[in-house]
Amino acid sequence: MVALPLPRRPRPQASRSLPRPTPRLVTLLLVLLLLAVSVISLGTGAAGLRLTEILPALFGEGLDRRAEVILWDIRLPRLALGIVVGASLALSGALLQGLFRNPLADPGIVGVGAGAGLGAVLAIVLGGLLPPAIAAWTGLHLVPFAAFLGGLGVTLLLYRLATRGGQTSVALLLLAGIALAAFAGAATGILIYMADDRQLRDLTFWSMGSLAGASWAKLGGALPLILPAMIAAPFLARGLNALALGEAQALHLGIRVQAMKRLAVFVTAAATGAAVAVSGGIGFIGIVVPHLLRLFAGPDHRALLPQSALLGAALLVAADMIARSIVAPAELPIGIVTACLGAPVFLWILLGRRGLTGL
Amino acid sequence: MLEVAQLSLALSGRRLLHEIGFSARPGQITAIIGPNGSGKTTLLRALTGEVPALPLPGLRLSLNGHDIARTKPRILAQFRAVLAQSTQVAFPYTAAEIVRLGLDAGSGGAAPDLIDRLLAEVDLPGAGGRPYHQFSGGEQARVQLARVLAQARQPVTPEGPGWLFLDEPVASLDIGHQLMVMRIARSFADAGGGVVMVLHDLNLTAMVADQVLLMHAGRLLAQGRVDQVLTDALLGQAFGCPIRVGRAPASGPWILPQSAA
Repeated sequence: MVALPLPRRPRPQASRSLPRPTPRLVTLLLVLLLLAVSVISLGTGAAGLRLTEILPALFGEGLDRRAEVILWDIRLPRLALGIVVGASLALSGALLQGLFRNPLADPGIVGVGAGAGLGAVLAIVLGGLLPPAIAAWTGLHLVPFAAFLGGLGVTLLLYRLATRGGQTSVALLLLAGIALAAFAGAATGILIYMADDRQLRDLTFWSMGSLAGASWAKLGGALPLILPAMIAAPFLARGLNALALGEAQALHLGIRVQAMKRLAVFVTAAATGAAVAVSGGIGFIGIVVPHLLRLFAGPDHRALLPQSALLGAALLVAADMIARSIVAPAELPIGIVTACLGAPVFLWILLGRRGLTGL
Repeated sequence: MLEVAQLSLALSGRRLLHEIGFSARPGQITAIIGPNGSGKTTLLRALTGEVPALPLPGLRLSLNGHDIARTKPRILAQFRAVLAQSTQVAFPYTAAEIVRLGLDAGSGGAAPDLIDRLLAEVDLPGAGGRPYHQFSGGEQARVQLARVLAQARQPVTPEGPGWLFLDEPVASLDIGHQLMVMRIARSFADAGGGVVMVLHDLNLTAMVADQVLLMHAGRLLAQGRVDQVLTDALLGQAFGCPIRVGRAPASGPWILPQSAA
């Protein structure tokens, strides 16, 4: 009898631990990154005003009138809007992905963004039909407000469609979201077909996304939605961690699953609706940012949610800087920049880390 | 004490459980056995409140005196942990992060090295930093067991005895680890906790169970001690084939598949 050598049991290559930095270190680095990007962004612009000229003004030292206007009425509100929108988009992405237990879920995919877009396009195309008195009263707020309502409407409809007897089916939610997004897209298409030339240009720019026209007033309009969302988000972290094991397991880990999911839906709708309303269709932030953080810092939502907000803000401010300077004095819609940066990064993540993400 | 009376359950109009009644005591291991599709897992899901029971007169479903349907999940989680048959994890959490979920849900203090100790207890020493997706099926099952043990780290809690509800905890394990799980369940019960588990293996059942519930077609066919339930007649009736329960001289009952001819 011949003893056959037993094949050596293949040792899985990744039996070693993941080299992950501590959450506190990651957060600290992200805060520094956001600060650095913000300062550079303040010193960048078509007016050619340098950082060295602008920084003293922040600390109350005299500037000439022109520089003061550029700083306080153009660059600072734009920076603030970029931070708020970037943070909201990335946070909504992280929340939706946790809620749907799927790293590819995104406000754009489940129809929240499409609903907001439909609202905005409705306002742009049909806004002219409003009686002058109402049009004057709504003024510049008509489009953002309609966008927010559209996003919220889709989210509520989605929730109603996917909930039976108090139980929300995540699969049904995702599929219904895709159908609703397609429907909102079709309705938007019909409206675009009806639009005149001037409206078409408005639509094109809005749908590509832009931070142009940022003002303190616009920011003020979005904050009442975004601030509560930011405050509520950390309370969802433990529930989302448990939900990663499935709804039944989350229940047995002590989570009130239905209530937690409902809160997550509302927080997401508020953050996405407000962000889309003030900035249009800025894609890929909500999907790339949480994905990157999960890969390099880990999926624990207690760290992931605040870190997503920080990285999203930094990334959007940086993208806006590129959008403003690459064809200066004109500027690109920021959605084009985020898509150009985000799509390849996203593909790279998918291809390079397939085994790790469980996709 | 787990008290169950008149427990019936229907899903999409189909009756899956009929008027189940029994009680399980802390300090004991209660095994639920029965053929495929007899309602073992459904019964466990009903017992944990995952699926609501039909509100028929006489329904009673309480654990340590808490009505399970009316108790907040957070309260139940402090003295009861549940292991599902298999668990899909959505994101690349590490083993330690999974176990920590149980640690955070349970009650009472925990030693700082508890996660490492529990992973060692399920024979995965030093594996805390490894991502869950890279474990084999059997290893994943043991990580989940460690999570459940972290949640039920006190066999006796301020809320009364702790409880483990395990759905086929040995389904994907080799024989060594099957025995390991049985030892863990035994010592939890010996320390004052209650264990209710679905088992497929009649020999393991005979080895560890203090009480056996034999399910057949959604009904409780028999309940009682091992020697009362694991009989030729009852097993034959439940599994639909002749079964002879053997007895080795030095130990409890054992079953040979060959004797089913």
